Amino acid sequence: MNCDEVADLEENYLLGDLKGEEMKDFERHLKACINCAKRLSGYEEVLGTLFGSLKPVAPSPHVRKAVLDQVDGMPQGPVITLERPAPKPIWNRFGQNFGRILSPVAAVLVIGLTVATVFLSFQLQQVKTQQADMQQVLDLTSSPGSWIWSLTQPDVPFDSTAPRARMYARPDSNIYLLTATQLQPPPDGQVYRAWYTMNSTTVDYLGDVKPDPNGNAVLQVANPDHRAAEITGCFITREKAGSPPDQPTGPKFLAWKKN
Amino acid sequence: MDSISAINAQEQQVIEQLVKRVRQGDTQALGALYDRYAGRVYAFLLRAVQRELAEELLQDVFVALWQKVYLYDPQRGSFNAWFFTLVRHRLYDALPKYQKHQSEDLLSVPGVVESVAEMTGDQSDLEDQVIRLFRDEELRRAVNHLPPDQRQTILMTYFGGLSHKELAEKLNLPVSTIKGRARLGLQRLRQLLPEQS
Repeated sequence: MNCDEVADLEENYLLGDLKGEEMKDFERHLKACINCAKRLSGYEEVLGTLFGSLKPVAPSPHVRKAVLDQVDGMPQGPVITLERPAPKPIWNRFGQNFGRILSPVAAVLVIGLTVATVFLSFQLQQVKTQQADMQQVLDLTSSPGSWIWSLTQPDVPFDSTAPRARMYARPDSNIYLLTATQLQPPPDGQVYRAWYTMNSTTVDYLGDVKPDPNGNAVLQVANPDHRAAEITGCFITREKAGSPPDQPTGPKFLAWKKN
Repeated sequence: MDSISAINAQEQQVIEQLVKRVRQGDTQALGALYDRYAGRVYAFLLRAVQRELAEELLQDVFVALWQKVYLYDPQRGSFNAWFFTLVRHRLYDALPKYQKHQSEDLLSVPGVVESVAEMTGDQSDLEDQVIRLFRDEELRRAVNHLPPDQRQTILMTYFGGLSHKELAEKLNLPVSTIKGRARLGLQRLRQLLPEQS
């Protein structure tokens, strides 16, 4: 299989439609050809991103019900189950003394399981809390009703390597989320601060933006008043570290303004 | 939650968990995936067909997801990419059976005009309208930075309802040229897109 043939089949490969020899040839080529492997990886990444960024349009509510009604009881495609060899009976290994050996083992197991259950319950509770927190973020970032405002450097031509940020908000969400990327660490003695403008008049402090070593930052702020609809602007400034966050004093480093 | 990549990774994890549940026959998980994706799939389908057919295809796509989810392999790519490819293939399979519109005729179809106008607020150039279907301003800018022939190929073949062959016929060019433009366009777009998209 050559590069052109691989390129023609890459969508079928991604879909899982290739079978038998064709699949083997495809994967053999992919292992040997870094260009094709790179192109395939880029293809799926870019298309996934483009698809993820489409503005949703709400279909009629009846479609959802129709889908779920239709699949109810409908068989799915083949699911491969791996057959495991049956475990050898424990008494084969222990012979006639298995009962005497098994009793203390069972006691240890019971104690161990009890401890593990308590530990796992605690862990589960923590995971549930994290999940609830994460769900809020996911709802905000993926919901059709959310606003995504892009903060860019004012009066600077588009450059894909420049710092940028996004603010996510929704009228009924309990949080605001601001994400930034490609941020250099602030100069010594300074911090990045995010602000938002309400009704084109008042400026409120959103929080400090702290980039990680990769230049990424996430700021999640409570929005108990549900006033996202009144936001008309949002920006990041560089301020003196330790100064009270009353009003912005530095120039707008990244900004978005409602048209 | 230390960075954007952590959010993306966790979102991906949630999706993968839902997909796993769908594979196990969980219709509630399918409902959850529907809630996440239906709006985008519907927006995409409306580019190519009228409302009634778009809704019919939307149903068909999610039923196909239910039936074919066992074919999805995360090692080969993201669920987004797999599902979007599935959606496009279902659309291309369905179009000959129904009502096939060439892309220049799309705007003369009342349902499409309405939906596009609703979504974009105007009825200007078709490529511009496709670009406005993306809610992300940075992504729109990145697409606009592609060379014109690559931008046209990406928008018309991946989002405008045309196959590579159809666009080649429309432009009177070899299919290989169109495929080459699509590949170069996707590579360029990958360089232009910010990491967090």
